[in-house]
Amino acid sequence: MVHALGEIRRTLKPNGMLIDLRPVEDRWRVEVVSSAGWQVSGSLTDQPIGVADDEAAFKAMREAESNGWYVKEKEGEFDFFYYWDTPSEMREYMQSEWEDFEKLEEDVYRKTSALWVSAGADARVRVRVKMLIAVWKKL
Amino acid sequence: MKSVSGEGRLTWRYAADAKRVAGFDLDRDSLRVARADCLHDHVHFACASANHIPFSKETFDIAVLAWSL
Repeated sequence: MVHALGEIRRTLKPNGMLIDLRPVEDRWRVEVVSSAGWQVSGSLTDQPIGVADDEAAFKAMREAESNGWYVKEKEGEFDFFYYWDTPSEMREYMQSEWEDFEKLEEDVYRKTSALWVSAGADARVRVRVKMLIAVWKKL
Repeated sequence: MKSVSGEGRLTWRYAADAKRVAGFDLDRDSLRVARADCLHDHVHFACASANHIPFSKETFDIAVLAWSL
């Protein structure tokens, strides 16, 4: 990871910018959304591999900074939503794509399903993902 | 320059405001989709990793690591 940051630095022009955009684990909220509004049904459970991945990414950037390769210009967070039409589609997606870093506990799934059923015909489910965006300037 | 460009969904957004865009990914299936969907002459995709970027030094103004660090 640190090697890649050095390689990116090599290809950047003087004062070039590196944008680091990625999700960070933070017990992402599960929500049911419809034309009537949205409700929180619970939170996902962060998994050790995902937490370790986040730590490794932060550590790599800290190391690149301490090497004198980059300086942080800006950093912020925002919400990014993943949507599914049904709770079962959400669960299937998580089991196939997110199993290493987020877990949908059974009680959260049940509550999500109950809220989805009662929320009306246009109800969908979503996960509110915490996104990090940081802008680094090449030194 | 975009590392881990995937199927290019974010790359298209940058492309509108850039003179030249290079996307890298090691996933050949994703690259195939990105190339098939590409409508821009100034956007190029390569099978490469950020550990060995196939460009000379001081080529790019901006590098984007999206979902990849």
